[in-house]
Amino acid sequence: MSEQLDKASVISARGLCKQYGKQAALDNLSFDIAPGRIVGLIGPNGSGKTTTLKAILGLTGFEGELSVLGRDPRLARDALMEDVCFIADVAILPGWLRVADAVDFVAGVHPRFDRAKAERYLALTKLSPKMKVKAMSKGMVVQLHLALVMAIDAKLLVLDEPTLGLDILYRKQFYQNLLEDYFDENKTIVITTHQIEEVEHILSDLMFIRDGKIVLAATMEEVGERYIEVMVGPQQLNAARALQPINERSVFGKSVMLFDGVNRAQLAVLGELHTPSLADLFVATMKGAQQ
Amino acid sequence: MSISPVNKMKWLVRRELWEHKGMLLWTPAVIGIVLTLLGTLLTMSTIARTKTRTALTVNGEEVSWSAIFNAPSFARQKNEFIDAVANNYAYLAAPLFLALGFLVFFYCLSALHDDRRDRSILFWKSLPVSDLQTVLSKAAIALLVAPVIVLAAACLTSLALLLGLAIVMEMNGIQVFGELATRPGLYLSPLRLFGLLPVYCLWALPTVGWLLMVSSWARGKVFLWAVGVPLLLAVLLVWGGELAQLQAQANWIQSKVIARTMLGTLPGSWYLFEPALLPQLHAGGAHMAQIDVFGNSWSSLGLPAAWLGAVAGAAMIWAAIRLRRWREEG
Repeated sequence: MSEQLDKASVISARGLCKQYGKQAALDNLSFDIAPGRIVGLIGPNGSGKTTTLKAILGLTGFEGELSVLGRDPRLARDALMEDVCFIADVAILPGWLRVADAVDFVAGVHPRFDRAKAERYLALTKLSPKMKVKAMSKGMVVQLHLALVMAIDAKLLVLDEPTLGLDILYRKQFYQNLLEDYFDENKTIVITTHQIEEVEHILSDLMFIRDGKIVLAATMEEVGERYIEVMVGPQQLNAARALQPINERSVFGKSVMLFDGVNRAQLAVLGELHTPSLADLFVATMKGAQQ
Repeated sequence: MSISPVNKMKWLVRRELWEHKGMLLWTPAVIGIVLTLLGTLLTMSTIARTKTRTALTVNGEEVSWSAIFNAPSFARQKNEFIDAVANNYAYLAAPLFLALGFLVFFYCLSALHDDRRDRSILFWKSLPVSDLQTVLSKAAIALLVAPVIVLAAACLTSLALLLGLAIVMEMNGIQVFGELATRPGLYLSPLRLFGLLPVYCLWALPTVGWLLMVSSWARGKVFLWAVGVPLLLAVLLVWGGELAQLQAQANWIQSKVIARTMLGTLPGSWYLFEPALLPQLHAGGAHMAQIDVFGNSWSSLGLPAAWLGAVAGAAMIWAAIRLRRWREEG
């Protein structure tokens, strides 16, 4: 079962295992992430997504094989951090830090940091150079953190709940900047978030994780082809149910069924077709895995 | 596209100074200023009190202190007095040295714990700075930067106090300025003080190592772990020593091991751990002022204990680095 690591991948994992006491946080987890992708790692609390990110970032030990940018994060974390950047938890900058000092420090230690870019991002906020983190609102701390990280030209960017605590205007702005200003085909971004609907239009790939296992790993195109939502009229109900929908809910008296890998033409007869939202897909997939 | 480790270290040290500006810069500055003011006031009031009394009455004639001090027949004593002052005035700043002991102690205690408590460690760890570099920058603050800052404050304070003393004496007609300025001790004292830095580093290393290790390991209550464990051990040793009739061995462990994990950051701690370094004191008659503290302190490095402790301290710093690398947060 110990497949070879994929050398072409930015991240290649084979059989990752990690126990916290009796609880398995990672249960024989294997996946690949190719360069130039924006991957959403999505799962409920306690599903192992944070542990997966920690393993990728060399912040935790584990069993199995893992290669990040060709390096083992357990052994070569220091070298890895030149090319990888992450936000593990927003709004956790130390209270004594001043905006100007933070910029100076990152510029001083990070060879891939672009000071002008960071200052450009900061100019869009209400932050002033002399301001200390402890005098900032939570949203402002996030703004500072994001300005610093977005100015680092990393090959791999890992974002764990990056917009927690941000108001909606800035959240939209952030994802737009991320896509237009930061991302290019040489970069790879891994995002976890609870606000799936906010990231779904920027993702290129999707990974659902549950109980330390990957339950779905696909590109967004594959997801669009494979999963179809149908508004089924009352008279078609039995025919539709015969095709084994993975989820069924009712909206305004109509049944909305989600199908996995059923022929599009076959479904078109039953009613109106939609591409499911990631949130609905997520709920359906998690329910399915529970049974 | 790469930044040298020396440059990174420079930024890490600067980072520590930003974080601990109050502790590392303001505390020594404030203590120095308070000492200077208090010392000068004390000198002035002492002189003022002695002035109201005359020193001597010779043939019914009152002779003032200044007359005695400036009299040719008093030249030898005056010479000795000025010598003693020139050679030892640096110790006037002793309270600052005591403060250094506490400063370094509490700095180390929180150095590797504060950023774990507020979880900002995840931000620092997202930058290309290794745990080795981070921990070494903190050890460098404890062993070099903080002592240098306090030594500089001590030199300035003692010079200011000496200046105050000299001015007050001059105002009362006792000339000391000219003579004081010609004494080599005046210039050598600060140098000797700085020259003791390597001795301080080596003797402080076990305590710094122990505190950094606990700071890197403990999830909470760092002070309790860092001080409680050695104290508990000390109590157990006394008890066990009594039971096993091994009081001498128990005492030895207490002063050579347990005390060194907690008191090493005090300047001059080597006299605490190795009282035999000071034979002159027990011979009687001699004063602290007449012992060559500089040479005597350096001779402490001839003791294996100094180096064994330093090795143990370095090993504990290494452990702190490993713990920081693998300790999981949150």
